[in-house]
Amino acid sequence: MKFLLEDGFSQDLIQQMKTRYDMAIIYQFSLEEENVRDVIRYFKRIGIERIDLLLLTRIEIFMKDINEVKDAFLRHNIKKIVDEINLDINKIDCV
Amino acid sequence: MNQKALIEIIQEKIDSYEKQVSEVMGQSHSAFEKYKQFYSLLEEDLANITHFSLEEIEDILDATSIPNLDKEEELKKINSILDLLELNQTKGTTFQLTEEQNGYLEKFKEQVKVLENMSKEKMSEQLEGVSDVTHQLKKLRALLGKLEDSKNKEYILEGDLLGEILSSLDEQKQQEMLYDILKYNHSLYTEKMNQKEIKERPRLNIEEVKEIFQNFSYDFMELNSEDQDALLTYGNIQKIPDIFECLERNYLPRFDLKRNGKLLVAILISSDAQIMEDIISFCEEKEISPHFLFMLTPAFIKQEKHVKGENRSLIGRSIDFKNNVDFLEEAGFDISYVLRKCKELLIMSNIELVSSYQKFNLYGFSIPQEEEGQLCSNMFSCFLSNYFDEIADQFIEIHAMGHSYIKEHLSRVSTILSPHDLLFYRLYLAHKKNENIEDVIDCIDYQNLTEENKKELTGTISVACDSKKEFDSAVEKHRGKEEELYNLIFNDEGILKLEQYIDPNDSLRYSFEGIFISKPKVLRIYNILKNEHLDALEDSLFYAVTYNSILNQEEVEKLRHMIGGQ
Repeated sequence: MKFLLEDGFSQDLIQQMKTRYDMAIIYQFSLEEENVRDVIRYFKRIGIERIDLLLLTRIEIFMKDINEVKDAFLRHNIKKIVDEINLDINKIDCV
Repeated sequence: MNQKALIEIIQEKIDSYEKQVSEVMGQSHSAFEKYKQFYSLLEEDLANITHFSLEEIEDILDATSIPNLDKEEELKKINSILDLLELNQTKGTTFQLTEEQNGYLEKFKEQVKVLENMSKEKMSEQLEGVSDVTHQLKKLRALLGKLEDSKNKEYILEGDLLGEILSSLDEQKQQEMLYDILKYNHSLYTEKMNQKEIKERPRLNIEEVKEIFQNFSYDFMELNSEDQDALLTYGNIQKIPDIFECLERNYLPRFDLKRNGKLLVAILISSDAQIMEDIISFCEEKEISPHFLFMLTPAFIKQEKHVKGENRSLIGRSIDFKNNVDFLEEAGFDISYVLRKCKELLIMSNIELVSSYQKFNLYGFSIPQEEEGQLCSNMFSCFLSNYFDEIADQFIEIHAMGHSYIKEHLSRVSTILSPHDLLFYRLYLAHKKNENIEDVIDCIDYQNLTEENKKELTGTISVACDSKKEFDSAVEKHRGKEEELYNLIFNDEGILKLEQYIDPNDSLRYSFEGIFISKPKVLRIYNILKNEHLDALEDSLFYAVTYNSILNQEEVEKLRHMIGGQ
């Protein structure tokens, strides 16, 4: 999980994730480092602000193949959906 | 192990012993320190007597065994010496003390030394008197240190000490705690055995490993250096080719070492061909595509196996994986849909998955229609989180539409992190001010509410009751593992009494003259207290009703009156 620190997230967030999720899921998350970082980079690029909240509440998104994530967003007007997600994180479920 | 509860009990014992020691030792220790400091000042320079107050000098003279006449004489002489020294210090004069005057100061210094030695002796005597207590304190602190250290590698073997610590609990709780400690020691033993197995294995020869990789058309050097190092340190040279053969034999997809090297290395280190064959054949039987398998690495790791890391968590899920697949199938889920939407469910602890599902049903949530277009599933996100029931409770209690609202907005249940979130306080305020809650939720303006002032600005309070600490401890112990509700709960006198308050508009909540309380919450919490045999306590039902609820003083009093409780 150290790679999350390198990507600018806090130790506190990592601790919260470990409390919230089953440790086997956290372990799998750490093994999929490359893909997780790709998803984080993509989210940053399209302008999603509360990536930390998504890590805490939708960890499974980060373990989907990056291409699947991109395809899901491409089905929408990206700017519009990102603005909606930034206003209300629950809008991620519209993707 | 419920370390938190044990730590609390030990800390209480430590506090009590420390208080005992401090009461006995306090005075003599502070006297010793005082005289030690005085002597040190005088030793440095006799003129430092000006640092002492007259009262302190009198006390020192009183404490020594000099006849009263001499004491008064000495005090007079010291006073005049002090006057001279103070003039030197404040007015810059250079009066020299006579030999006689220096003599008096030397004598005074010796008196301070005598007092220092006397208080030291007294302290030693008293220390001997509390030696049993200090001995116990030392042992308790050592035990506490072990429990608080997440990297502790020592077994907990302090049987006598634990017997004494736990003696204040009832027999059942004592047995539960002792059983927890047995499990803790067993888990440590398993980890040590795993570590021993790893340590006894020497570091692998890189050339040998490269050759094995090459035999299966992989390039070892494509792995990043960290993964190479991990495999050479923890890998087993016999198992590696067996696993590669198993992958080939079952026509499983090849790994991209640059991208998924970690996954392969994790399997090569922590799995073995036998488990792999077992899981692969299980997946074939269930028609689970092998494409997904390597995204579920814990499924290939023996149940209860630890992995080297900063924690001691058990991540092996070979048995849970199979149980989870079977369970979800029996519950009517299409496993391929689960894999597409949230494969992580399959590597959760089976106990927690079952508990999440039962809670989901208890709250009357229905399994939503499959929506292929969506990236995720709200329902599965709820299953992954271990707090969704507490969030659902808050919406039931605070939102006018209660349960109906969250059925339509399931995503909110999984994106809010805590039942104490500011959102709920804002909704509480909105309700009190007759604002439209939908408008408030759609466009959250917290109106200066913060974590620090949320109770003050909403006028709400933390609900207290006599046995709160015990109840909190019981609830924490069972979090995420709530036992299936027994019929016993529904026939409980207290629960039956509450039936008269069921909200006619929402069967999942009680309405106590307009105060809404989540019924699943009450049942869940009261069930835990009953399992812990705490239901006999007078305020147990009151605690279950008010658990996590956002209430002001008046509302609390009303509930106390209607339900009973201290």
